[in-house]
Amino acid sequence: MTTAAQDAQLLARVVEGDHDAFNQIMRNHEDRVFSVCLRLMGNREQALDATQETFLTTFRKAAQFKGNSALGTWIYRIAVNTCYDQLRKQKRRRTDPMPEHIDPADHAAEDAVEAAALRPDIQRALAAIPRDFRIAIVLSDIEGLGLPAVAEILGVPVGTVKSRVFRGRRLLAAELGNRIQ
Amino acid sequence: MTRASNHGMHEHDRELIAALVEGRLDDESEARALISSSTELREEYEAQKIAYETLRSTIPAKLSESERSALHRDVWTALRAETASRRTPWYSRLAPVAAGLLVVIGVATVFLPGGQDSGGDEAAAPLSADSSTSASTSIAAESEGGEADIDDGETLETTAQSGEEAPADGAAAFSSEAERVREGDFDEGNLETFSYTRTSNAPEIEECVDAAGLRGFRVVATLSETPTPQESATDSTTTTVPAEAAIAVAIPEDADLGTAPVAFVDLGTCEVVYTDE
Repeated sequence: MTTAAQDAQLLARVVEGDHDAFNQIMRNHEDRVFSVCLRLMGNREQALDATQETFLTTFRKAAQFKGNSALGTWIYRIAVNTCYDQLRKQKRRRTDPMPEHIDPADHAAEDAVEAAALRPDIQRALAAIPRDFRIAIVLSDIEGLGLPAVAEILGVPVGTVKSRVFRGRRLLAAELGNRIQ
Repeated sequence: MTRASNHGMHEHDRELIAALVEGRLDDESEARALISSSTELREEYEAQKIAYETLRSTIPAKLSESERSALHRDVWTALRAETASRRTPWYSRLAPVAAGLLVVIGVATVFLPGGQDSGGDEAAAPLSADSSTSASTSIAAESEGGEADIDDGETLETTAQSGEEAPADGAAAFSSEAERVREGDFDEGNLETFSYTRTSNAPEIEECVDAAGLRGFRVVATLSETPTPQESATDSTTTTVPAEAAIAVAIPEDADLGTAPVAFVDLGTCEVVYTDE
């Protein structure tokens, strides 16, 4: 578990051109970035693209990080915005839903996909609720982030996050109920 | 108690139900009493609980080892490519074209009949300003630095270098281009090797110009390599940002084009490559 101070120090080293430091930042945050992107995009391949783009943006903007929030929060905010951008583009050229890419020769990949796979009914229910509610419950209930962190990532007040989580859960339950019926 | 309603529910009730669902309450009696008080509240609690428990039971996704190494590889490949393209000045990408042009001109000068006597005049012809639709561009390419040969105001000359800095004579070339811009002579197809494309306020270009420290400037055109005829034919959907755009031409927002200082911004690096006094 990295502390905010360690993260800030790492980022300062990145700005100075230390590539190992950036690799370390990636290792610290890549799983969660990928997980958030996967829940938002519903597609492993697109989530990987978004994860890559997130870290490219992180590198490019490293010098702009002011340290007002935790590095992780800053990176997840970049991730959420990157996913939103990709979803907007995706809307323009509609693709098949959830073509999970599995290399049959790679058992580790297979296991990882399986472990991360949401039940299809949950994935569909998540996809059916508005984006603002979806991201709030993904960050809060799946990723287990506290409400203040979610608020920082989304750039909204904590009260708004509370409301979105509550309404998001209600909508998700309704969607799950509808699917069951 | 706040009465901000949410589907008729008090905010306090909502908070209490959420806390009960998440197991954050030391004393649950108030919350339990609340949900027992009405069917609506009980249903709300049950819906919240189902959703919360379903989501909490979901394991956060992880990258597989192959995905992880591919991610690192791809990120560094992209970053190295970006760095390399920043280090390569836009004009150096034209080195092969320039070398080809020099060879053609050299061969033509030596072998064409009367080339020795009239070659100077013929060569100067396409460079003259008498045509409003075309002028040619000559480019001197030198792999280890050297001087570009500027001979009149109608010629954009570029020296390709392996180093990182623009050659000194690049300034003279841009200065003559600035003059051309002030004369309003930058309609599409004006040049053979480059073309100017009038542009609208494409946000990417405006942002790049802002990033170059030219806030308050407006982009009047972009300077780009002219696509080959084949590329032009397939690229029928030219938008505000030309695919080959290399340089934005900008002048101060309220300035008169005829007298404005002109700035050239490299759209690859968002840096000013030349500006008038």
